Amino acid sequence: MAFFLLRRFATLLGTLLAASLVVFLVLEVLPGDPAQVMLGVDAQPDTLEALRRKLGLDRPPLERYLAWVVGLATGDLGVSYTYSVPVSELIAERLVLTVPLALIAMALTVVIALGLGLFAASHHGRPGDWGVMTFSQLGIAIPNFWFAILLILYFSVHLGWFSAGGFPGWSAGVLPALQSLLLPAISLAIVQAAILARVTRSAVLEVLREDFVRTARAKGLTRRQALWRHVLRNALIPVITIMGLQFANLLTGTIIIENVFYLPGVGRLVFQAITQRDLIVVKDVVVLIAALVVIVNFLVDVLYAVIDPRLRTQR
Amino acid sequence: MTLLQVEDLTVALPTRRGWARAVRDLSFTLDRGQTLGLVGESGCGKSMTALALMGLLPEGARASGRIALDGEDLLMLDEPEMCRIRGNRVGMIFQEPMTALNPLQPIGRQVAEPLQLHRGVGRAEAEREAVRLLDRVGLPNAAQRAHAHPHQLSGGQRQRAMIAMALACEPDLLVADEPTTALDVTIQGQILDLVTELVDERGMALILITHDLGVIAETVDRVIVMYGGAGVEEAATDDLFAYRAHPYSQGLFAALPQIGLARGTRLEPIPGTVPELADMPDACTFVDRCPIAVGACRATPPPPLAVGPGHRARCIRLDEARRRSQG
Ligand SMILES: Nc1ncnc2c1ncn2[C@@H]1O[C@H](COP(=O)(O)OP(=O)(O)O)[C@@H](O)[C@H]1O
Ligand SMILES: [Mg+2]
Repeated sequence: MAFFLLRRFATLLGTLLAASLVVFLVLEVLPGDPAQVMLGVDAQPDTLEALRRKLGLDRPPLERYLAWVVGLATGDLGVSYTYSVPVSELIAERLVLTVPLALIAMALTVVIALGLGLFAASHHGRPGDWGVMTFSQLGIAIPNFWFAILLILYFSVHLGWFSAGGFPGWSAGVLPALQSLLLPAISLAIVQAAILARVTRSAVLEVLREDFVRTARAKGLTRRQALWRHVLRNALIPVITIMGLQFANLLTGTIIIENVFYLPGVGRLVFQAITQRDLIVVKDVVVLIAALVVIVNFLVDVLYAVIDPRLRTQR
Repeated sequence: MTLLQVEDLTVALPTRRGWARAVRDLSFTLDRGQTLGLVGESGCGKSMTALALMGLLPEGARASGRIALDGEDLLMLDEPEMCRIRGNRVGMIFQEPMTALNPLQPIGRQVAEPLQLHRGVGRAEAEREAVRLLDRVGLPNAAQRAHAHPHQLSGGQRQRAMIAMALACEPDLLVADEPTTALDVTIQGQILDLVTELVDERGMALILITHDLGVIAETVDRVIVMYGGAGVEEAATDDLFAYRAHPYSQGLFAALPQIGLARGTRLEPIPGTVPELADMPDACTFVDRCPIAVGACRATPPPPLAVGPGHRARCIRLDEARRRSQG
């Protein structure tokens, strides 16, 4: 078990290094002058020169890369060109929105998907199953920004239950903050939940055909008891795999959804940094998002080992 | 005293070509402490019979007739009532120890489960009892092995765990569906000895399903030979090994020596192939492969005719069959 985790952790570090290298190569080494990109074509030569020095473009690439990676590791992410604040502060104040948003969306996804998937599987071939399948097909077909607009029109404009966008901040109280995150989280969750519900359904159906389910029934367990005590955990392995992949989708989804709802989160920060060509911020945020995805995948691997004893004893 | 009375058990399965009977008009009785073997080629309905007894037939299957356990017809029970019978009064051992255990649960927990379910004991106590059971079925180092997962056990050890599970609540009837078929030949004997020993010790009744005539010869008191879902011949084991009355049984035993049958002696195929279930003849199921069939054999299902005391065969040509077997 310890060895398994150690190996996965090494993979995690390796992936992070590779991701940072790719980001660095694309933004700073490939032909094109980052300072020119940031300032635009009509920039003054002396401003350009000043920015080049500030970015350290006069130093060799390897040195710059190492300095950047060391900075990332120690929390020194440089200073944003457009905001003139340390990028670490900028990101930190955005993360307190995006992380809860992603977690709520993921939680909604899991609850909806497991509920619907289990329901459909235990009503296999009956109307309940068809209903869930139709519903999930719809969910997959709907683009999340369009669904977000529908939600705003109905719940905010028509019913007036929620504000149509913006974030009051956690200082305004937990409830109002959560309230402003609910519609965005639902918009993010609905597509993922639709996909995951289908995965859950087919995973459960697959496990239901296994011999050990018949053994469980032969002991006297009811269908429902066998489902909860023996089927569900076995079905979780494919479900968790897909969940890990969905988390990445969810993070990229925040870029659009935070813009639709005017939420000052990391997604909106990337969007703004790109429009303002603030490469310092873009670089750091992209690595941050990559790190989040990689860490989630590491957690998924750990979960596998927790669920399946066969993985623990392997090599 | 009669423990189990099966009367005209018929299991109909939905197939692409309509309803097909996987078990037809099977009848037998079984007393406490008695052992019965079901023998026949693959596909003759042995497993369907076992699953009908457990009330675990595949989705859409229909069972009719009567399965009376201590006078109570199991076919009339609803699902919750049947759940109180399974694992409690009737235990079952399956063929595949590799896949019949939950791979994610320690075996101690799996053995403890029926105790928690039917005895209402707490988990800790049930797991202590599970260790005693695992020890009784000969799992070495039971207290530690109870925490092992199925993949950490050998096939034989898994089957021992399976037996412990089926016997946990001391059922009156044990149904063992080819319990040794998937095991190494060297292990098969040990597992069978264990099953017979436990059945003896607890005075249970046993239904042993197999296509291994050697196993039948050594293990059970009575035998039913099945073909195409029908019980074509029933006799005390010794009587059957002395004389087979039904042409199918005769074919089945043809290549075997009369005595000293070794374990692992498999059934010899009979000329012709077993028809698909939906094509199975309506009257005598064996008619298409029978060397002595006549027109009347296709008219009505043959009734069980007495061959000797406690020895019956479903064949209207018993005299001709006797002449052939002697000549
Ligand atoms: N789920 C099912 N649906 C339809 N036919 C089935 C199903 N399961 C088994 N059968 C058929 O029922 C017959 C009896 O099967 P089974 O009882 O498993 O045979 P045995 O255990 O004697 O080898 C076979 O012809 C088999 O093809
Ligand atoms: Mg079978």
